[in-house]
Amino acid sequence: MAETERNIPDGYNFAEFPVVPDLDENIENIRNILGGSSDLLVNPITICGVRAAVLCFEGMVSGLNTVHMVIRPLTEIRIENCTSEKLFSHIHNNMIISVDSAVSVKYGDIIRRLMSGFAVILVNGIGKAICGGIQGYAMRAVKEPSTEGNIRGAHEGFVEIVRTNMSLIRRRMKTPLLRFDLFAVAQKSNTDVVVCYMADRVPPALVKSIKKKLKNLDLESILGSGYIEPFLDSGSPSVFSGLSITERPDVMCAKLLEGRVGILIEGTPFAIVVPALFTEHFQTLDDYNFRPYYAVFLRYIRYIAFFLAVFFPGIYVAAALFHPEMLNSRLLVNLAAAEEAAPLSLMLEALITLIFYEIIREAGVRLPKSVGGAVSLVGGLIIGDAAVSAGIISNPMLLVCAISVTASFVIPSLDQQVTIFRIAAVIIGGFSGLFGIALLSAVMLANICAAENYGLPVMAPVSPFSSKAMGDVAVRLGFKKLGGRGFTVEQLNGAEISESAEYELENDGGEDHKN
Amino acid sequence: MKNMSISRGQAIIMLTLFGVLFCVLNTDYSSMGKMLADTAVTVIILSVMAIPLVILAGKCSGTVPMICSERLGIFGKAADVVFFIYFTCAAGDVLSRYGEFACERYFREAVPVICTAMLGAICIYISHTGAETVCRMSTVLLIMLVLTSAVFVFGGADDIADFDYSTVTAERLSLTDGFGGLFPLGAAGTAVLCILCGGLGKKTRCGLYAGLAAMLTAAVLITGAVWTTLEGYVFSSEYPLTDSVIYASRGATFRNDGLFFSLWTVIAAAVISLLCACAGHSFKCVFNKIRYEGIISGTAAVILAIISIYTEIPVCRMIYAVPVLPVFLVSVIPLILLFAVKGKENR
Repeated sequence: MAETERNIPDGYNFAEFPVVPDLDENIENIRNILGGSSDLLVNPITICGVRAAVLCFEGMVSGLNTVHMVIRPLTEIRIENCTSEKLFSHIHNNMIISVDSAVSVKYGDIIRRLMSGFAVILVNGIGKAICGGIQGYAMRAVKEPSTEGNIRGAHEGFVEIVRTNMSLIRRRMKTPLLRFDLFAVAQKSNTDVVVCYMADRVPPALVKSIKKKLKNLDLESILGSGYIEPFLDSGSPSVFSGLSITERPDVMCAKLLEGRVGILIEGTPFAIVVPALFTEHFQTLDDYNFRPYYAVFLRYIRYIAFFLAVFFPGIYVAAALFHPEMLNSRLLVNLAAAEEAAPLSLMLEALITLIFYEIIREAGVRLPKSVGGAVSLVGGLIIGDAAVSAGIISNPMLLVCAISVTASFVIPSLDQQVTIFRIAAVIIGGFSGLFGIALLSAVMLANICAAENYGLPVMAPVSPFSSKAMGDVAVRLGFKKLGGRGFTVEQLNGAEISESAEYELENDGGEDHKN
Repeated sequence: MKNMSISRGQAIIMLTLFGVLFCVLNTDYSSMGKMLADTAVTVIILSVMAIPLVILAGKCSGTVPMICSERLGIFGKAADVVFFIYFTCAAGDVLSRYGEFACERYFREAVPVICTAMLGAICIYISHTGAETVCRMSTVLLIMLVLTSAVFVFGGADDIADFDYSTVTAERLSLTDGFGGLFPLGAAGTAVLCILCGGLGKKTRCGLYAGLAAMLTAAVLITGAVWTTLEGYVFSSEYPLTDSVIYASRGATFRNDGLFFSLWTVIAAAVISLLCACAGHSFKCVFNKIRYEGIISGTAAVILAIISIYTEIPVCRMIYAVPVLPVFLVSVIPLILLFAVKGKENR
């Protein structure tokens, strides 16, 4: 007998162990693997004189379905001269436990299915197990996404269950060319990850490269999309990412149609889209539901909002401290009068206001919803008002910071970058005026332009310039021109997605293919 | 070695930005006709000078320093060192001049060395990200340039309309004058194509000639704008373009020269970074194992710029403004390489 066959499987070493014919030994082995975990339910049953057992995890399966789809049909089985083989064959061939039932021969497979909400039927004398998915764990209903609101689009968002998310996409894209590849990643959490793409739009090498990267992930667990983002991003030292995140199935469908790859992760409603463009931060689903002229107006509002969000407090500080001659004389007098009473320097005032805003926001996010509202009330109204009344912060500064912060709400996907650059602009504007602000904007521009993922420059289609794509960047053309053009990101000038993906496949995705 | 994937449009815009930066830093707008004539002569000289480069780009792939080190052995390596020195000095000169300009006009609280060091630090970072990044920045800069030009035209519309254009007289074209004015910076822009041709290939020709035409157009338009808005004040102004944008915004609620200054600073950062990236590339062609070539060349440029300001001796300008150097790099070396390639083909 081989050394491994004599070993008893345990929680560390079980995946390749085969299921044995003896029922009691099988149950004992599974208990041993799970360390006697109290949520494992073992239901012994004797069917036509043959011993069997139904195993499942408490809370992972639907109690009602277990009774209706498994227990009751098993108790109703009538087989003459029943043997283990006949019973197993009958259950396997004549009973439909669920639409995704399967036969497992290894403990690794059984454990994975048990933990995914399957019921496992073991029959004494048979070295196989029948698994049927009768999931019934608690899940959040499909609701409107919390981070990507819209007016005229669908009010459905992804949920934490990856299979539900797959169905949300499939319902919108009824084509056999939409493909889902599901596999488990991470050593401990064995999280289900789904790679989805349109077979006719995406370069095959890109899908292969992404799947290879995901399968080779050196992670113990994946508890959010942020865990795998660094592995899919190019690794270039940029504040801006070559990935985008969406909570909306309709947005995901649009991205898939443009030749991107979507990644759905069990346990999070946030899906990853690879690769992404900077201009997409300024596009929303509503743009395509509104009339084009209004959509164009909104898009430019977002561009302006981005500028205000990043630079407005910095420019105010720089202009007031270093370049007062640039301001209108009446405005300058008003500002001087307002700032005269404030005891702090302008830069410090701006920093305090912005950091205080970040604290209030963080408190509002972390606290329970019921208390969160009170935080904004206390922070925004009471403390803000008191700070102005006490003369600590001037009214113009509060106004400038409020405009900047409100502008950042227009482009929530760039919130992290905007926050960092805004504070940097205040500091550098406070020390070196407009010269510093200009240098910061050069750094920011270079930072965006340097970012690329899978051979697609994040700044495309602006630079490298693609006139074809301007219909959805500089303006928003009507659907008569936009709808049936079959645009994919690989058609953009400067995009080398296939070459880059092939290079990464050959080189384990180690180095940037351009180096 | 970093590959480059740049478009013809990006190359054209980068050359235009060289022209814009020349106008920003130019202090001599004393004779509009002479300046325009000199600029035109410079562009003609550069167009002729770059013929071997254009032919070479059509025949060989890769940058000129790369081809040099591959085909010309030790002589090629020496040529790469000259490329490195030239680009570093060009970057250092622009850096020191822009640092002084920024300090004098917009950051008087600081000393020029501080301004130069700040700008230099940013350029080191940008050049480290590569020439391709700088070229990508160019499209955004062009959009900003067009928008700010519209602001300028809107603000100075009255002056432009009221200007007495009969005062502009054609000056005699002089070949000697053609090597002054725009020439040093224009030649540096042309020499940059020795590196960018690696990403442009056969499109180098169009990139160069359209770029030079764009550079000339930018210089002509800006010179015209300065003259029409400033008129007689142009003789006493130290930085005429800066004063003209201030003058053109006199009817607006706010003075908008800060907007122009910010844009010029980003353009200066892009141009200096591109020169540093090109110097870094040439350096890497000599020392293949070097990893942070952009940082090395950038740091060298910053040090040279600071020395120039501190000693008040234009060290960089003394080297890079000599017309022989760009002629050697843009004409002679590509010509030698063309003979080397031809010789190999014959064999």
